[in-house]
Parts: sequence; C-alpha cells; structure tokens
Amino acid sequence: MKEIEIENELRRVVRRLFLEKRIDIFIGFEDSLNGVRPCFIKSVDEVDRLVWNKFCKNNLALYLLRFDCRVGIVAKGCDEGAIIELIKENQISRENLYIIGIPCNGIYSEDNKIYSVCKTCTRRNPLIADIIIGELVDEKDMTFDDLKEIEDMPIKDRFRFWIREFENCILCYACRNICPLCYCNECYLDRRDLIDLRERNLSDKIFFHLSRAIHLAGRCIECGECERACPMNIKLGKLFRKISKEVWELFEYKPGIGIEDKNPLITFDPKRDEEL
Amino acid sequence: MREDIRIVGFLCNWCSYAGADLAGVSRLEYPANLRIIRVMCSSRVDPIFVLKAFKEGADGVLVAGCRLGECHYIEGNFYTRRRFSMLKRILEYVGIEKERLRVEWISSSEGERFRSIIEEMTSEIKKLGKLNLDKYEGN
Repeated sequence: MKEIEIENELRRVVRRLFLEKRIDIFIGFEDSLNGVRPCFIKSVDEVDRLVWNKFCKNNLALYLLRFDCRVGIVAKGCDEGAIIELIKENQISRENLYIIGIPCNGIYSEDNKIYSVCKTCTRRNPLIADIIIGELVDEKDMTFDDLKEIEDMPIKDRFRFWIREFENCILCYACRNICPLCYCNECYLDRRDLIDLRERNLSDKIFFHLSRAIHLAGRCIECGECERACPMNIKLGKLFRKISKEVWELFEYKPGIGIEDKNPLITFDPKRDEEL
Repeated sequence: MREDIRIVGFLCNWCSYAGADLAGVSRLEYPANLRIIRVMCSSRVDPIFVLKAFKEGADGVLVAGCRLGECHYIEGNFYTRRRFSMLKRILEYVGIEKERLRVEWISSSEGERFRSIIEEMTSEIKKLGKLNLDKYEGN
C-alpha cells in the first residue's frame, strides 16, 4: 500500500469512528510548516487534516495521559510499545482506547535520513491494534552490534566519550518531557537540591542522565524521541539501547511486547538470578 | 583538596549493620574511609541514592544486606540484586569502574568478614583513584 492510500484509509476509518460515536478525540498527525506535527481531532469535519507519511516521527502515546475520555490513536510499532507499557503501569485503560496500527519501515528526518533507532528496530508491526492499515512488514533480527564501537573502547576512553556527550547537556529537560514513559507528576529530577539549575555542574548532568537511564530500564521501548528532542544532539539513543541490551541479556525481556509481561526489575527469580 | 578516598556504605538494619556493630564491639580495625548509612533493608536503597552519592563526591559505594534467603522482609534483597546488577552495567558503560559499586551479603555474625570486605574495597578503590564527576581533567 502506498502512503497516500494508507492516509486515505486512515481518514475513512477515523471518520467512521466519529460517526459511530466510538471515540471522543483522535490523536494523529497534520501538516505543518516543516513536516508534520501531532494534532487532536475533535469532530468529523476536522478529519481531513489527518496525514500519514514517513516523517510522522512523534511518539503519540505521550499525549494519551492528557485525556480522560475515549481516545483513538494512530500508532507505529514504537508508539504501540509505549501504549502497552502505559497500560501495564495502569496509566491508561485499554477499553477507552481505539488503536489504529500502521506497520512501519522506519521514519525519516526532514532531510530525508532514516533515524538511527529505526535501523535497529525490532518492533515494526502492530500487536494489539484494533485495526491494521497497510501490509505487515518483515521484522529484523535483534542485534546490538551498533553498540560495539563504544563497548570496545578502554574504560578511560569510554568515560571521556560520555563526559564529552554529557557536558553538552543544558539541562533543558526536553528528553524527560518528550518521553512517553516519564509521566510521574512529581519527578525527583525537579528537586533543586538534587539538580542545581544555577550551577549546572557536570556532575548534575551525569546524574540526570544516569538516573533517567536506570528508571527506564526494562521500560524504554527505544522510540528515540529523547535523542530527537535533544537540542544539543547528545547520543541518548546509544545510552538507552545499552539499557535494552542489558535487560535482554540479563532477563531475556523486551518491553512493549506483552501486556501480561512483568518488568524484570519489579520481580525476581531466585534460581535464574544466581549468576547475577 | 581532600586526601583520602570516601566510601559510602548503605547497610541493612538487620544483618549488615549488626555485622558492622559486631566488628566494632570485637575491636576489629578497618579503614576509616567508610561512612555508614543505616537503612531498614537493602531493597530500600534506590539506585538514585547511589548515583547521588557518586555525584556528591563518593569514590565508592557499598550496598550490603542480609544473606540471600535470610532477609528480614523475606525477599527484599532479591530485588536489590537485580537492581544493582543493572546499575553496575550502566556505570561500566559510561566509564565508571564497576568495582566502585559493591553489593555484598553480610550476616550479623560476620564481623570479621565485614572488616575484610571493607579493607579489600578500600584498597581496590585507592588503586582506581578518586572519582571526580564535577571536573574532568583528562583529555
């Protein structure tokens, strides 16, 4: 199916959902000056604003927490992964949600380059969608070879590499705010005794990123939104992919797949943990 | 500039803290680089505590709890084990040596073992040198 056909089919389905009064609001994408942006459709006359193309990069699961009504949403693989994690953590309920899944072959930046997280994505097809538009695509094998370059450095060089990355951080909190799974109303990163925004010390920046990393261990679905949101181009994707790798190697667990799966860090198994 | 290294120890109230106490009452001598913080269970220790300790200038962190299966709260230290094996790997990935974070299971009768662990850890971290996250002086 071509992009334009998917777009037309998407509009048709959403129009029907509104006419049958099955949703109160629909979250999708609309055209903007530079590419696309998320939009909220409230009635059937607005449905023609919806678009779908390979530049639809945002993870729309972020906006689900804002609504307390029946919501429709268009979801790529990573969006759906985030939705599954939010359902697991009792932040949204599946009954109030209508998911339109679209198989995804990777998304592109405005200058037509595929995002690096998409190259290694193993979560391309919808799993829990109510309806799927477009043909399913082939899943790639899971590989973490892209981390080899950093992992093989001597430890001192690795430290230098990450210090060079983190010292660029301006503590703007964009990566936290864009993350669909960083939803806590009261976040310890807002505590000014932990992170001093007047000083902006290097140690604060390291603390910021490492604590976010450990919080998202076993939850991060590698949508790459943090890396895209970062105004200083810190290689956050490389940090969070390492988290996913360790979770996979230690616990054989991949977040965003099964609604019944349990995050390995909130449970334990005395037998298999012996080697830890 | 401070001379000596600093180690922060989170010890669980029921076993490790009592173990440290035993080392004390038995008059065993161990390096004074350790600053002990008592917690009710090793699973009370959020990985954030450890990161904060490093941020505030600790060169090493020890998290100690009851022996596995002997936790006062039945299963607390099994969670601790998973959490900190994860954190260790993250630290190593960003270039902070994993020896700086140590997780040990020390029972209340192991005063001698407590002493030898502290001695070993202190000498290990002395070899690694100080960890200064505030100012990076390498090139």
